Order: sequence, then structure tokens, then C-alpha cells
Amino acid sequence: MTGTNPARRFLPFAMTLGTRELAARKAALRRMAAVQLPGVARAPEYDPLPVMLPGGLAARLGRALCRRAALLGGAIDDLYSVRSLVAAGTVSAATLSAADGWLRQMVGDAGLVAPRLALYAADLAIDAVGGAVVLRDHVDIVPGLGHAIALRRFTGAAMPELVRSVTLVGRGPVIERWREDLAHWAGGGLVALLEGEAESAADDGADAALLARAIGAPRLRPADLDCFGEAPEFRTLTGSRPVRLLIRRMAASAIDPLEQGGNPAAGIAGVLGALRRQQLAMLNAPGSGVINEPAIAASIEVAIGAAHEAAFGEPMMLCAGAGADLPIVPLAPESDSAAMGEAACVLRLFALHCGSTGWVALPGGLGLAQGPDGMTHMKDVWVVDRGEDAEMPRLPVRGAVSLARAATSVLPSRAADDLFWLGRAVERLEAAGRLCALAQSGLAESSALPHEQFQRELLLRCLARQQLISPDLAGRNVTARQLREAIRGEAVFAPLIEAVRRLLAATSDRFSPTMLATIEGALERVLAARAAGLVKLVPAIFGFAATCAGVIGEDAARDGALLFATLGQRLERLFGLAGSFAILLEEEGGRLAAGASLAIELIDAGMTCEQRYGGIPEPDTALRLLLADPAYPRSLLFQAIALAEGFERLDAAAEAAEARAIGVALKAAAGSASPRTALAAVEARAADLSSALTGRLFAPPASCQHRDGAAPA
Amino acid sequence: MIYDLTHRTLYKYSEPSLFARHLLHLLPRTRSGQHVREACLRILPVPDFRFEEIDYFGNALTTIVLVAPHDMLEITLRAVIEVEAPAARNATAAGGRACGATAAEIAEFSVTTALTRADAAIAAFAHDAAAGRGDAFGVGLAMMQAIHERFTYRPGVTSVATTAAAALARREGVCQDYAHVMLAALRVLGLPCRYVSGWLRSGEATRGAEQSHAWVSLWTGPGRGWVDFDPTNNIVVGCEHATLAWGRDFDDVSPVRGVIRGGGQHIPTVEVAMQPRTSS
Repeated sequence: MTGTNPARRFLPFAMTLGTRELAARKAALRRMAAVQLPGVARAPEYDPLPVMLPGGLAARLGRALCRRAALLGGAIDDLYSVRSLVAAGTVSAATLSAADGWLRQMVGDAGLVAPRLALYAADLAIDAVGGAVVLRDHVDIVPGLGHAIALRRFTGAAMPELVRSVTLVGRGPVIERWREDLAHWAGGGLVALLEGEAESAADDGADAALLARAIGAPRLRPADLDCFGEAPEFRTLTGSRPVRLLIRRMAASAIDPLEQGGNPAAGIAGVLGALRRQQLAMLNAPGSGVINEPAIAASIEVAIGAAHEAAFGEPMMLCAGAGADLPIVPLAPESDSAAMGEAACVLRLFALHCGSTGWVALPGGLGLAQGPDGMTHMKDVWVVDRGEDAEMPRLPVRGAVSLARAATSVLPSRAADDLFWLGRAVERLEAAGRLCALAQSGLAESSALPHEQFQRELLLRCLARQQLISPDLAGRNVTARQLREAIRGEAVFAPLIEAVRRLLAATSDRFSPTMLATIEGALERVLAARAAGLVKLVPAIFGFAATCAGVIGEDAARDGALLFATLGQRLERLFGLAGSFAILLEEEGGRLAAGASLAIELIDAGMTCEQRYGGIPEPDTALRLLLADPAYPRSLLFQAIALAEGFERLDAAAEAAEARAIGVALKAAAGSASPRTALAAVEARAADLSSALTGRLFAPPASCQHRDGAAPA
Repeated sequence: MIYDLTHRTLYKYSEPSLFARHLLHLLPRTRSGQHVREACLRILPVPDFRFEEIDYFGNALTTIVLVAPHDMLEITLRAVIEVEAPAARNATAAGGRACGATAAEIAEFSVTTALTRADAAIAAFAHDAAAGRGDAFGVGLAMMQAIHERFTYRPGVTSVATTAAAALARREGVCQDYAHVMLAALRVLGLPCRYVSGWLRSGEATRGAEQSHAWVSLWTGPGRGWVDFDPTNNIVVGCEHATLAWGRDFDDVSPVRGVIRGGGQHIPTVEVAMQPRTSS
């Protein structure tokens, strides 16, 4: 495109702002996106300068796009039902059978609830006179729709002068109508986005998040869903909810481990059967991508070209092609000292199947400009309404079917599970730090005094129990130096830190960007301190744990998230301390006093003892503090009470009763001369509570897959 | 020949299975030369959900879902199946679809699969066995004989996941391995062929009776149509075999496949009896 390039239509106007201000607007646009996309790993690269499409051209492109979508959808339907394209030799049967995307399980004449192709996008190269070539069809997973919908709002807010300068064709009617049709296909049931379990580099979490928000649908992963009966159900903490429509954002190749094999946790067993039996709609249907296979795509292109001519009496406007010159569009500067940039731009236009209305083009779309930095900068595409040539979609409004908005307020079982384990992992990391710090300080000045030697033995066993040293060391008389070698930060803490990092990533969407950055910053400091030894590492761990607790308390309190993280923390503390105390408090008499003293140090209760008792108390008093003080936050009873209260909030009556029973046992143990057996029992009961919680609320993913019925012989 | 067939599959779980969803290929299909007079699947515990479908290859497919904890699963097929000798089969099918095959079918059964992917050894074996053997039927016979001669029948050394290449390298296995090797070799030569699961008449001096059995069906052209070869027993299939299902390989027709939650360890046991009801 040259001087008449509509992509440059806004450039003179924008330039009046100056490059410095444009750079500031770009930064503002990114900030807006970041605020809207908490927890998204890769922030989208948005550019504030939109691409303009004249209304007439946009209308022609939209019409052609819808025709192409209808023809491609017809071809997909044909391949999966009557297969006339194969019978006529248009598509080679051998090519189809050998195609990776050919999903035999989806073949059937009965049809599906929704069209196999109901979402479509085409990447176009548009020349200066409005000619267009299709560079790529998106008929499987359709990327970018979320960005396209949200960018209008972001760009409008970042560039209000531009918005005021033109009249834009709005997208609202199309989006609303589409939402109504989603609800219609869902029969009033839940509509959700389905994403894969393992996020790959190709996944665009931001796009999914924005699309989910635009249509009011939750983002689900296979682990959130079970096919107990005919259709998938979404597991929530308040029970299962049937899902009737899934917008597919995961590959079709492993979507149903029952029929396709593979990892049972990576898909939803029974989902293909639910589609065949019309108990579920999926956009797009698994297998729709088969026509993108290169050998098939060429045949289909010929077939739809002929069908277009037959149906409309004219050649198809949008044909597949390659090597077209892409228009060059301006890019706002990256910083106030940088100059304007330029990049070749592909236009991605979207078409949505709106039930009986058929295909409707989304006004505008997404400009994808490949910047000199190698990044793809996304631009809004504006369709300017000049009154005479922009064809506003005129869409009839359906009846009273309303989209069942899922409850973004409903905490999915998977998220609760992750938060619970995040609470446990952070507590475990902190507990490991405390134990290592104690061991380090206590053994650095090891003496031959019998009670110190005894305390060293106890500590070694505690460290071994928490897998912080080799179990072999627990029974040996190691020197202080050997022990320091064994508990050096990097090796000991690596798995614990990795667990925290993984769970933090899994729960990142529960935090605002600022708070997430705060936690991640604290974790980075832990990582940086690993090489510096325990002297720096342990304070960094304590700082991280404190940051986590504060942020979760303040920021992740929505939808019960705080409750689950707290349950995890309390349960881990009960389990961990009961196990350590069972070792430290196993002896009687003077040795019990030595162990109790160590236990007080372990939970950092020295100051409390000083204030309450004027120093380390007698063993019986120490036991009451350690085990049965309902008000001391590191006592075991405090954990049991907190667990009971948490379980009661979840209506988990049996677990709450068990937590209270543990509390009773702890009070009894505090009054006994030898609490070791009782503490070991509490440790085991805490582990059982964790299992019970997992089984009751989190519903673990399928454990195994088999294919046999006994091998034939 | 009319057979009374009983096929019982029993799973015993070391821990309760909390939830299970299974796909069953256990109802026999009707085919040219085979008429299923009766077929009934009895499943214990009674499934909470049960769906019947016909799969892509035309086989009966049963889906069962059990949502209550259970420590065993018993699936029993009782069927009465009438099987004709191949000569009668061809006569009744003359001009019909049974003796023909669509382009789609031929293409479908020509493609390689994960279990039947050929390596250099299979390719060499295929070309060696087929050399100078004339038409597809002749190649099928030669291939069947070559496999039968080179292989040792040995249960327990392979599994349902053993590939044709691995089986040929071992030169031992069970009927599934014999069939996979033959499929891989025939497909190297461009011959469409399908994996057939089924049963063999009880009490015969053959291998694979009283259990699930498997063999190969080869498209020999419009004249003879599909001809079944049993490389485990080195026989062209007559009226001693009854067909359960067919696909490209075992994975397409696994008798029972499922996803379960819990269950611990489980080993299925299978009992099959295929007794002739009357002489025919």
C-alpha cells in the first residue's frame, strides 16, 4: 500500500500527538491490558495505532469471508458425513486416511448440536485496490478473537482523539447475537472455554482470558471436567454443573483419552461420545482442522471455488494464495526516545456462525504487524461508517434465552486444589528453612555436652524426616561441618522451591498483576540467595513466606481462595510440626526437657516463653504451649481449630469433626508424660485429612487408562 | 455352522474403582457369511449409564459408565452366531458390497498405524515373502505361511502395546503379534488389509481358541473380495472362526478399554467358549 494505504489513514492525525506522546500512549495501552490480564504469562504486544478499513471494502470482505466460511464448513461436514468429496475423487481417500487431523471418531451422519465449523478466521493480505488473498484459514482453534474484541476498548481508551474523529461500525450487536446463539446451542447450560492442561509456547492465555471475559464464560481445563454420564460436568466446590458448550482452545488430537489414548489427565474421557450423542456442542468440532492439512487444503480450495461460482455466479473473492505483498503499517514508538516504526501487516478477520442467521462477519478484526524486533504487534482494525457503504450487521434478536454466565465467582475445584497445595508448599518451604537454620546454629558450635549431643541427634532425625538430609546421616555421629555440607541451600531447597514456583504459576490468575509481581519478586530473592548459603537463604525464605501470606490474605480472598490456601498452610503445619515434635518429644525426664527446648526454638517461641514464663519453661508447661495452646499461632491445637473452622465453612462436616477430635487428642497428649505416640498419630491423621479433602472436594483426575479385555491369544 | 458363544471378562480390583468409563467392542458384528442370531451383554455391576453405537468401522460399540465404587467388573457376552463356509459366503455376496470395497475402505486399510508401522526389517520380510507370488491372494497365503514358519507362539512375552516391528524382531508372540506383522508387511506392499478380532471354535487343535483371537483380512480384489488369513494357525479362515470386530489394528477394536479412578492393581481374566450347536 502506498499513499492511499488505508492502514496509514490515521498516521497524520496520530503524528500530531508527537512520538513522545505516542510512546506514552503505547505504554498506557499495555498497562491497561496488564491490569485486565492478571496472571497471564506473556503480555500481548498491542499497538495503539489502528488499521482502518473503509466501510465498503470491509463490507465486501465480510461478505466474502462469510461465504468462504460457509463453504469450508460445508466441506468439513461433507468429509465427516456423506463424503461426497471423497466419492467424487475431489479429496483423495488415501490422503484423507493418512491425515493426522482426520478424526475417525467424529464421523457420522447424525450431525452435531452446533455446526462443525462455527468459528472462523482468515489471515488476509490486502492490496492497495482492495484485492485480498487468504494467507491462512483458521478452522480448528481460532486464535485472536479475544484480542480483537478487547482491543477496541483498549485502543479507544488509549487514543480517544482518534475515536472521536470517526464513526466506527460497532461490534456490540454481533457479539451479543453470538452470545445468544451460544446460549441457544448450550440449551441454557453452561458455556465455557476449554484449554489444554499443559500450556505450550503456542498457547495464548491472554487471548483466552479476554474471550472468556467477553462472553462471560469460565476458562476450564480437562481436569475441571468429568463425563459422569452423558455430558461433561464442571466440578466446583459446590457440586457439579453440566457443561453444554465448549469453545475449544486445546488440540483435538488428545481431547478424549478414552477413545484416542494418551494421558488420561490431559483430556476428558467420554467427550467425543458426548458430542456424537448431541449432549454437548463444541466450537469448533474436533477434527475440523483436517482441511488445513496441506494435501487436503489444495483440493478443498478448488472444490469451494467451484461451489462458489455455482452458487453465486461469480468467482470467489477470497482465495487462498501466497507470496502477496503485505501492506506496511506504522508502529508507535517503543519509548519516548525512539522513532516511529513500520511493519508488514496481516489482517485477521473473523466470522461467527449465528445459528439460523448463518455466518456473520465481526466488523473489523485484528492487525498482526511483524515488528523489526521480531515481535507480533497487534492492532485493532476499525471499520469506518460513512453512512452509505458500511453494512451494519442487521441481526434479529432471539427470544428470551440468556447465556448462563458462569460464575466467575465459582471457584473451580482445580483452582482450589492448587491453592491448597500452594499453602502447603509455602509452609513446607518455610518449615524447612526453620529446621535448617536451627540445625546450622545449633551444630555450628557443637560441643561434647551430653544434652547438646542428644539435641544434635534429634535434629538429624528431624532433618531426615523432612528429606533435607540423607536418611543415612540420621543415625550417624556427623560433625557440624559434615552437616553444613549436607544442608547447603541449593540442593536441599531446590525441589521445595520448584514446587512453590509451579503452584504459584498455576494460581497466578487469582492475583492482581501488582501482587503477583510482589510474590514473584520475593521468590526471585529466594532463588538469588540460594548460592549465598543458609545465612542469606533462610531470611529470604521467611520473607517470601511472609509476603505470600500477606498477599494471599489481601488479594486472593475472592471466591474462597484464601480459605483453601489457609487450609493448606494449617494442615501442613499440623502435619509437619506433629512429625517433628514426635521426634523431639519422644523421651522422658531430662531428655524431654532438652527436646522441648529444641521444639520451642523450632517454632520460634523463645520470646513468648520469655514473656510468659521468664525463660524456657518446665517440660509440662512447654508441652501445653507447643501442643494445646488454642491462642498461640504455632501450637498444634491452633492448627486443628483453624482446620475445623475452615472445614465447617466448606460444609465438610466429617473433616471438621476429625479436626476437632485431633484437638481433643492434642490436649490429652499435652498432659501426658510421653506424648510421642499421640503425636505420631496426629501426624498420620493430618495426612488422612489431606487425602479426605482431596477426595471430597478436588476429585483427583483419572488415575489410569487400560485397553485390554485381555490380549487376544 | 451355528455356534453358542460365551465370552466372559472379569476384572478384580485390589482397591475399589471409584469411577469407571469403558468402551466395549464385545458385541459381534454381522458380516458377509456371518449372521448374529442373538447377542446379549450382561454387565455386573449394572452400569449407571450404557450407550450403544456403531463405530467408524461398522463395529458395535458399547459405552458403560459406573459411578459407584466397585471392586469387580464382569462382562459376559452370550451369542448365537451362524457362520458360513467361504464358498457359500462368496456365493451369497456375489455382486454385493461384501465382495466389494469402497475407495474409502481400501484407503483406510492401506494406511499404516502406530502398531503396524513397518521398519526396514518388515519391508525386507514383506518383499522376500511376496516375491513371485502373483496376485494378492497368493501374496496373502505366502505371507501367512512365512510368518507362521518364522514365529514361535509364546504367550506372555508381548503385550497389547507391542508393535509389529518389535514382534518381528522377537519372532515370537501371540495372535495379535502375528496379525500385526502380517498387516505391516501387506501394507508395505500396498495391499489393503484389516485386523480382525473374534473367536475360534473351542476344542480344535489350534492356537487361540477359548480366548479372544485375531487374524487378518486381506482385500484381494473384486473377484474374491476380502479373504481372511489366520497366520497363528496358518489357515485360510473358514467356518471355524467368528468375527467380533475389525479395524486397522488392535487399538481400533480393543475389547475393553477404559479410564478408571482408583482400582489399584487389576488383571483381567477372560474365558471363551465357542461350541457348535448343530452340524451344518
